[in-house]
Amino acid sequence: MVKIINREPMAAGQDPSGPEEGVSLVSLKRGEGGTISRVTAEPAMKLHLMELGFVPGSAITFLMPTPFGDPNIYALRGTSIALRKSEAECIRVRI
Amino acid sequence: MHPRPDLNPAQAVPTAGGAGSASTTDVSVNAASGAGSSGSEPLVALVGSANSGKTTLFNLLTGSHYNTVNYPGATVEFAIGPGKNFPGFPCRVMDTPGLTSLIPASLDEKVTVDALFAKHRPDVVVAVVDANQLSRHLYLVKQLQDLGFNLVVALTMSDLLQRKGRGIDARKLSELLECPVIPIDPRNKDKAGELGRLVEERWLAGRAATGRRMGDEAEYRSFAGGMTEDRVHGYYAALDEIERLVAVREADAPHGAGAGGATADRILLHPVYGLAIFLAAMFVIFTSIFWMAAPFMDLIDGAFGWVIAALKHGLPQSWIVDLIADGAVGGVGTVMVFLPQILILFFAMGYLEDSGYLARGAALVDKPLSKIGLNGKSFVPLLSGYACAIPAMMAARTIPNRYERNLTIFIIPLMSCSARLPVYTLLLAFITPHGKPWIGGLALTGLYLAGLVLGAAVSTVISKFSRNKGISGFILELPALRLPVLRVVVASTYHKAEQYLRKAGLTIVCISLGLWILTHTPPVEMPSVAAAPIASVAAVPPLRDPARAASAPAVASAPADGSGTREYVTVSRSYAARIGHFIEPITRPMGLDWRGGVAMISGFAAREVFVSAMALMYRIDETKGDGLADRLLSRMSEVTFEGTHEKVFTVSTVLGVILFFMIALQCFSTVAVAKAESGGWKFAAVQLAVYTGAAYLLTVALVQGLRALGVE
Repeated sequence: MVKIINREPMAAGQDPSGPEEGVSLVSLKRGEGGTISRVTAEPAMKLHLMELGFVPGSAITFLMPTPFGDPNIYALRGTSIALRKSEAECIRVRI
Repeated sequence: MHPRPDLNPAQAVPTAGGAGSASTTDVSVNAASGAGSSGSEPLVALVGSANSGKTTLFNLLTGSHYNTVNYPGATVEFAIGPGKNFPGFPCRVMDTPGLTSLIPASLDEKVTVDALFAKHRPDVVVAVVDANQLSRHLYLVKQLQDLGFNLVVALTMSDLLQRKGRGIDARKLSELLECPVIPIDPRNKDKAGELGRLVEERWLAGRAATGRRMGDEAEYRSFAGGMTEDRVHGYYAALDEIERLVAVREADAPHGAGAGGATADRILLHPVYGLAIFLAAMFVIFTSIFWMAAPFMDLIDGAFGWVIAALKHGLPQSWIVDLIADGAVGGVGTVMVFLPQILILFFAMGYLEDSGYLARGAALVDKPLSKIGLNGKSFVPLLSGYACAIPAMMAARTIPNRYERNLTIFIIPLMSCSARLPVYTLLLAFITPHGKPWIGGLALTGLYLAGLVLGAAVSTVISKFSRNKGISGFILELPALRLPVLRVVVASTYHKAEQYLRKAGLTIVCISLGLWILTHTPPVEMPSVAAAPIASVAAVPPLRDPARAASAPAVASAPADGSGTREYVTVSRSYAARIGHFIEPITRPMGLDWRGGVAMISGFAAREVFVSAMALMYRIDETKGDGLADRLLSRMSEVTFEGTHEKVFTVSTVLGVILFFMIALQCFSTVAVAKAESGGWKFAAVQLAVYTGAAYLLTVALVQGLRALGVE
């Protein structure tokens, strides 16, 4: 069985264990992009996100917010995906 | 094991017992095939992401001639049609709801998985892959391959990719995937024949191969159970490599190509313009339901009225003739009159959905809806509820979280459906002051908004007191904006309307018939009064324009209670009347006498039946279709409680009835679908009790309260 790392979701912008970890997806500025370094979420959510393509090593860009501030729109693997901030927090990105 | 919230993969595949025989016969399939029974024809399933062009391809391959097949005891429906564009290869083609992975994340994805492994075992699977999203869409392809399906990959949207200056080497891809790959534009027939040949080849190859059975349930269970993050990572690593190897860079890539989509979204999701566009779109949809539908509804209404009148004048008068004319034909009429509204709303929504706009809409309203305990994905189901609650509740299958799905289904009846419109129109016309028809229009808008606000309130309250709501997720793909293919939208609108007719229509007609019988038995033998006009009522009085009704001059109506025409006497001694008298103590506080009570009961068959029941109970004596609305209105203003001079219909009473109709769940078809979609009679029963009970209490409170304040 794979070891599931069950951490508390990070506050936006916090840099956990090392320089390669990067920042939370939520802290990207509009137009900024990076590479996904890890996905931290409870098992079912993590699997679902990864199956959709949020896999470490993938390029991701923050395209734009929505009128009420949540969700945000990201570009990933050729498509635009809307993610709530609570979901984006699970994804760490190396800029 | 990594079960999805609410969807344990081990449960995703039910036992296949009983699967196989459809409850509706595929007449068109049998007719088109000509080669043996439909059971022996190969089944080709189209699988893929919702926005990959799959449904457009399905329409192309079946020529938009397909049936939706239902299985007994399930609300799950599959679109299956004959493979018209596969010359020389008779087969059945099946469309499936969108799927991103064989591990379902929502109920409609589960439906697709069930189709592949349990209910229908396709002989060949055509995986529809968007060339712009190779890695994500090939993920599903890899899973299908690992489970042994006979695959053909249809590569779509290459034109979009070309505009970005890139391309895909289909032959190389086919090599790497070890299965046929055909680039195809689902909007034109060019490659359909080639696709057919590839599918046929795979089918024959599959039949020849021995050993491993495709789509094996046990294999699926262990596959789903063993899906780990490492495995997913491994899949994508391989896919990234494949994507790199097949990518072709076109020499002259126009600078800034592909940026068009981003600009459009910048406007559509702009804090000011985006919101404005959204509100404008909603406004257009709703007003089009009213003014665009009205002439068609009048047409249908008139046609049915004509048929009923013709039947009654042509055939000798008898109870049976009345049963057929008013009961049966009239009942069918009440259902058909709503078809224009339903068609228009579903066409508009289908068009917006295929254009990709509805996904933006859902993203836009996610935050406000979350505040009241729902999900952005509740947007489309709630919107559909304005046409008819039945397809709306079925649309809730796209909401992954079970709690949010059930809450959405619970709220849907408060989105005032088409059937309430004739009731609102009649009652508003009564209280709208003469010469100021715009007040009626404004009031109508107010009623619809009130339903929305009430829905939000109910949702908020329920969420506050709920625990164990599970994990809420949104994660929505925004498909590339594009011009919808008209034929596809028309076909889907037709099928949604057919769904309404099948699910609601039949029930409504039966109950209408039953109610007619209840109000016309026991039949009364009366000495025939020469030249006494037979009281009869057209199915639904043409009452959709409060302005028109309110400004028409009051017409002298039937003589006051007392002088009997056959029908009135029959009705007043019928079983329904007895029930009406029996419940009068309950209806009195609402301001209605026994006749209104009977009309209210009739409203439980289908809300619009209330209007024709009112006309019946308060005796509109002329057969002429025209002016029926005015006659009813003027009649309403005169009617008094029996034996007194006290008027039945006062402002407070009418407001009370409006409130009742806004809240009460008066549609048995809806109750049945609510049970099916939420998975339990308890849910549906609670919904029915809460809404109807609350409606009654609030109506009584309103009427008595208004009277206490001195309102008439």
